[in-house]
Amino acid sequence: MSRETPDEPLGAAEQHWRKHWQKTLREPDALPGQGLADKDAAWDKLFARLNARSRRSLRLPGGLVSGFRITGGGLGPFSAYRIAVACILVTLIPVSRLFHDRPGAVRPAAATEFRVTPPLRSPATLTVTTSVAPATAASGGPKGRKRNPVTDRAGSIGVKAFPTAPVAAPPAPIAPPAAIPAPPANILAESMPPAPVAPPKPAAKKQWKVVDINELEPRYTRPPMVADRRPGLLRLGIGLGDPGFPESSQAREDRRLKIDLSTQNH
Amino acid sequence: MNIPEQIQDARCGSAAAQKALFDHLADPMMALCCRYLKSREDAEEVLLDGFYKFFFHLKEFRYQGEAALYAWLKKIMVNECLMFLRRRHAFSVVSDKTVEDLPLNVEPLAGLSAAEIFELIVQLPVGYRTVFNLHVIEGMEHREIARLLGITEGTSKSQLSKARLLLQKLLLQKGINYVKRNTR
Repeated sequence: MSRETPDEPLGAAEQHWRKHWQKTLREPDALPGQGLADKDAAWDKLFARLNARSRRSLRLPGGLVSGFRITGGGLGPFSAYRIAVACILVTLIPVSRLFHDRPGAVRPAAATEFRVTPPLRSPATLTVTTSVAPATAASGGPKGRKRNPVTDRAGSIGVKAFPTAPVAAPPAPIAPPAAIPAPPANILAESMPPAPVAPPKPAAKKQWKVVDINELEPRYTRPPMVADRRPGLLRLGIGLGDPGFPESSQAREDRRLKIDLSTQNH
Repeated sequence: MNIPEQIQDARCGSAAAQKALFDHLADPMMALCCRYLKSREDAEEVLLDGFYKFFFHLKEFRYQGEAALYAWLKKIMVNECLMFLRRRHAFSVVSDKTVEDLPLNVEPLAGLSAAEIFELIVQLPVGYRTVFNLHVIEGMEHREIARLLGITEGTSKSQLSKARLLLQKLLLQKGINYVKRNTR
């Protein structure tokens, strides 16, 4: 508890002179000599400060952002910067994902495999390699539709496309070198017509072919759950069967809603 | 244009209205600042700080008459002066020993002019002057003064007693005996 004594009550005379002093000094024109010497200069300083503050202030619909500080929301300084950065990130992340997952996008890993993969040499090889995986062939996979090796890419996982050279004839056996007599020097110089310039060979027409990943990686086998599936066909079960009633796999297969996702027209 | 209209326009950012208010109120507020601060440069700096706050918070002010406007602006200025003194560590440390209080002959004191009162107050040291201003002129209690200045109530009373003592000496130096000894 405070031991301070309360303010003693003032006497009437004391109150009188105090009130006189208060009244005298509180008068607006009590001290004319104590005013500002240069009021205009003082106002200019004050006006510059007020203007500097108003320039730093930015009115936004949500509140007053002054000096990079949102005064209405009670947020800390540089909150406007943080909000702007967050908005930019929120906008850019979906866009970057959209471009990243685009089907035609070239990925660095695919480009590496493209360089090391040997080109195909014969159409027979092409026929073999465009078929589905060996596991599919062994289990008697779907045979109904003839696949387009270029457009039917959806079902073949890991398929790579790359240009190959045209099919060339098998090389002729090379005869052992025989001893050819050298012609005389005068014949070579005078009687021999100039050798015709061979016309330039037409540039090899490059073709795009689709190969399965099994060709690139022979040890690769498709997972057993997708080994018997036909590529490009999405199967959806709509749940019409009775869960307690056993049914054959064929009936279950027939009840499935089948959507062909291949790009080939039928 | 009267003061309520000037206040209304100044709230909307009218520079002319703000200047009119400044011209009207600057002189008495400068005199108030000079009562608390020694130099006029400091007083002018504090005055501009106070008017800056005044215009910034003018939207929150509810006009209820010119007296209320004066009281509000004076409160802003006094607070600015005290903050300035606190920043400069201008308060002198004094002991809590109570000085003998001498009653003043109030009749001559009541006849002093504003300039004479001002001249007497300005001659006091900063600590005495601050407490004397707050207690005698502004009418604050010692508890409130102690809270504002961060001192004890005893220190506030001691400062006031010393201020009165020094005031008597100053009056004696002027050759006018305003002091009446208490005959017990």
